[in-house]
Amino acid sequence: MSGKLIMNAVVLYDHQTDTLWSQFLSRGVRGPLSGTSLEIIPSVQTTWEQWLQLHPTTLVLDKGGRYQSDTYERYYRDGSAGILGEANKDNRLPRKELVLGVATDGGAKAYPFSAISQQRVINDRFDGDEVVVTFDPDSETGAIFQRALDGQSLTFQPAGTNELGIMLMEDQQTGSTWQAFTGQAVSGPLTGKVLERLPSHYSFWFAWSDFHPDTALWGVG
Amino acid sequence: MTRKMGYIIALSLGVLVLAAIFVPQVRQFWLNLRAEDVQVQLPLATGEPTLDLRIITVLGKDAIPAILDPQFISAAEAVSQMKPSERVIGVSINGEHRAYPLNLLGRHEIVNDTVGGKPVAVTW
Repeated sequence: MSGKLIMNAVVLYDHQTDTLWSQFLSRGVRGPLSGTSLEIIPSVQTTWEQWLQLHPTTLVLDKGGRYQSDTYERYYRDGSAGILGEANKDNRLPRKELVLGVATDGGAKAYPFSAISQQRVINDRFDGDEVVVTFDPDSETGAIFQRALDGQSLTFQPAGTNELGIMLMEDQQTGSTWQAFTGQAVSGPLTGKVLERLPSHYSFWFAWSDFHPDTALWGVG
Repeated sequence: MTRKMGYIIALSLGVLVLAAIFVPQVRQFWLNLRAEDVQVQLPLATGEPTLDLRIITVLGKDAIPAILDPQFISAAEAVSQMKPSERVIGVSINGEHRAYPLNLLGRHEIVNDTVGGKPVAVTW
């Protein structure tokens, strides 16, 4: 870590070239590799319990018996916008509201937790693609996938959970059942197929709107 | 300098330091003094060809130490140190699955790892 921030998000440096990289933008911002973008690997933020149920063979980073608490506990709950404050005030949502955000070169869209908690499976359009957003409010797990598969566009609805508590959804076209956070069909005609995942991440609204001032916003207004 | 002047100066400095730490507006003013403006060429979601960014220095390089050689354990080995409800970032690459606890990431901010043969940086 460089010890520097851009609009409250960390700035990394690499050992090889000493380029500075904006974490939020996944891009070099100063130095030999300025302008270069980093490939974002889709990841999931969830509870340990949920992740283990999704992937029983998973390994976990050894905490060495330490790190039993979250150092940002109080910050999540207070009203402050990082340590630098907001760069661009956007009143469409309260500043510390959590959103699931997706951004490509074609646009940015935020899905507020409060709005997607009700519906859990949302068929939407983003950057010209048909997408499905999935969200489990109990474990605060969310993901976004392409709905197009083998030339057809699927439409999804919630399908409860399996015996391990893993959220499921069903497509209306074939009635296949899918795991909502791996995007894999587990029963029905499309068993084994996997939806293409778009990289998304959670953010406080103030930070998302700072980095993406023209962001689209789902479910508000 | 009289002793009284000395006390007044010391007290004023003390108040300024406390203000810089605890009063957001003062802290932000101070941090913005140590700022560097850069311009990045990029296709961004807003459609702008370049982006103006302000880089603020808050801490020294590596004041928050990256993890360069992460060690992993199985779920069974982790039972004593992982609570079911604690949050993780989970990554799956080429059939290999790994979880990075946020309690740890909050204190190191970045883990350099290789998952499924792919070098990755997990950041928080």
